[in-house]
Amino acid sequence: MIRILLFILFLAPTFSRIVYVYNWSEYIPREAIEQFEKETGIKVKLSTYDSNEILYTKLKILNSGGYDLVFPSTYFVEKMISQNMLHPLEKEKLPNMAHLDSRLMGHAYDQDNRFSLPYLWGNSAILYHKGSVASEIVAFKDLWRPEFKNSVLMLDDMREAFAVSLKSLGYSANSTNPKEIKEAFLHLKDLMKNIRIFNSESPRQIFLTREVVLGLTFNGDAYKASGVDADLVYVYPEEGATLWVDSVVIPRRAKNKDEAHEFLNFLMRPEISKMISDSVGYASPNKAAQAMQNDSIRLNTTIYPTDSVIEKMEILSDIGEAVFLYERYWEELKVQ
Amino acid sequence: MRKILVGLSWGWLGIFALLPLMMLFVVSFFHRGVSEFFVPGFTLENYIRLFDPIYFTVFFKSLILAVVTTIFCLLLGYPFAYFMASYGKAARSYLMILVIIPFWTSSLIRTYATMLILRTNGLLNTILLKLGIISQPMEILYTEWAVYIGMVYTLLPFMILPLYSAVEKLDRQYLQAASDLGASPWQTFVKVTLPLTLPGIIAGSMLVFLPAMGLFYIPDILGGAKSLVVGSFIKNQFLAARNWPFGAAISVFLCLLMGAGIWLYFWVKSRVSPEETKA
Repeated sequence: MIRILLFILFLAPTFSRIVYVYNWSEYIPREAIEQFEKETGIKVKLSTYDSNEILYTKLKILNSGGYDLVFPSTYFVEKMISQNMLHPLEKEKLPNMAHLDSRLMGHAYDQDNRFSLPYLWGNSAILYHKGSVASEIVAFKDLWRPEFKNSVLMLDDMREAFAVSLKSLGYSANSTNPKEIKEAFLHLKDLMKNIRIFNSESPRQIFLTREVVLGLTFNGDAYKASGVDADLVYVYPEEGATLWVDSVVIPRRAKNKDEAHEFLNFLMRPEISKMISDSVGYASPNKAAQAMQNDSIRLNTTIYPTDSVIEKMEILSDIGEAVFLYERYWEELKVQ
Repeated sequence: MRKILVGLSWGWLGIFALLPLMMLFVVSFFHRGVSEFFVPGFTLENYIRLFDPIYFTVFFKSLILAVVTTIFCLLLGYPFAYFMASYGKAARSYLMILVIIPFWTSSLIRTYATMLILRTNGLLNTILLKLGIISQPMEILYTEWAVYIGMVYTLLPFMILPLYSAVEKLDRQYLQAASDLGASPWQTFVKVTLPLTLPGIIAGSMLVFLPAMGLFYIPDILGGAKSLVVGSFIKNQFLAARNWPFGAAISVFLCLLMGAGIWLYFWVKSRVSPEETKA
């Protein structure tokens, strides 16, 4: 009896193949995972996180191991590459790469896509209740209007909040100039009387319960919310929104690299990428998947903004040591 | 056998309480790194930083939050415990169950439930509007009020339980004697009941005050994460800002503060009821 137990305990796992996936919460539909398991016999162990910081901290503690596939956003990919935390992708194992949209490849955070491939992409712009505002919202600047006292939602994300302030002042969202950062901080401090809540877990719920009138939101959340409440409008501010790409990467010390590649290739299969994009409400970086999507999604500018809008957007990049200054101001802001 | 059990609990405490605390203490003297959590070395910078007005404000605000929460819990908990102790046996155990039931669910889930009650179109506003008590929905959620409601709600049982055991032990014959000797009910309360239940008041206050200093999800969820309390501040240092040495220094400082509080508790207790402490 004991022998059998020992056998099960120590040997059984070597029979079945496993891949440890660590993804954002609500970012992959169950059907996709089930289909992969059925096709390949590889067991997917999924755990989820809510912020890049948590992912990064965990990977650091685990010395770039522990998981086989993770999904950091833009500037965290850059950070992880510079700290030698990632395994270069073995492109010959990823034929489905051919379907990817070239607009989302080769960005500064990983120029030749040696380590990362786009999984989903989106942006952060303004969502508002049309019926509750006196005049149209067109810019980040409008968040500062006195009539919105205590009715603004801000993402609880330092870089996103600073991006709003920097952009409304006409600076880059990736500014490392101390003078500009300070100015942005003072500007944000001004905004505090309008901010009712900081939240990035479920802005959608807060809009739907009408606790806030307007605020910074992710486009996928905005898409889902406006599907429930038609009074909600998502608008790209004239200063330009922030664009982000959530990538797939393999940590350097991942144990199941073959399985990870297999899963990654599966994720880039057009039908699968379509299934994921349809279900989570964010845009697919997969040309073939986009072509298969319903017009209601494919032509929806909340999910797929037009090229002229995208051109104005800025991608957040790693700002090095300037981040300390941001942090210091961010803390000061929240102590008020 | 006894040795093994004692050794086991010492080992457990050593590995899971003492060791991490020691590590925290050591790290609090290290330097901060850009790509590492800390760089070994020796600096007092992290402790000096604690006296920066910003961080001092964080401490001060958390302190106020904890003190006010404790006072509200005491004001609500004392009468409750007092009357609970004066009921018959059946009613008492029934009330006790009511106090304990909330512990069956995670307090995080209860905090989310509180959110549903407090929000603008939530249960509380709907009822008050229907009853005509208010004409416009109140904005409670994401204000300090919501934070206090959530804190008092979550920590009240910790006040009631020690108070109840103190009140229960109270010999009612003393009260009888006081009133026979001409004391008014108020005099009896101030001169007899209050001093005799003081150990319960102190124990309950400590049990509410200490966690109130550290709870971070209630201000985050119900207050809208607008104002930092020391708990979320420490969490941010470890997770978001990744400044482990500073986070460790704040934790060590908080531990010292709490240690002082507990020492004060024993000191007061030994003066209030010396014979009980000896036993």
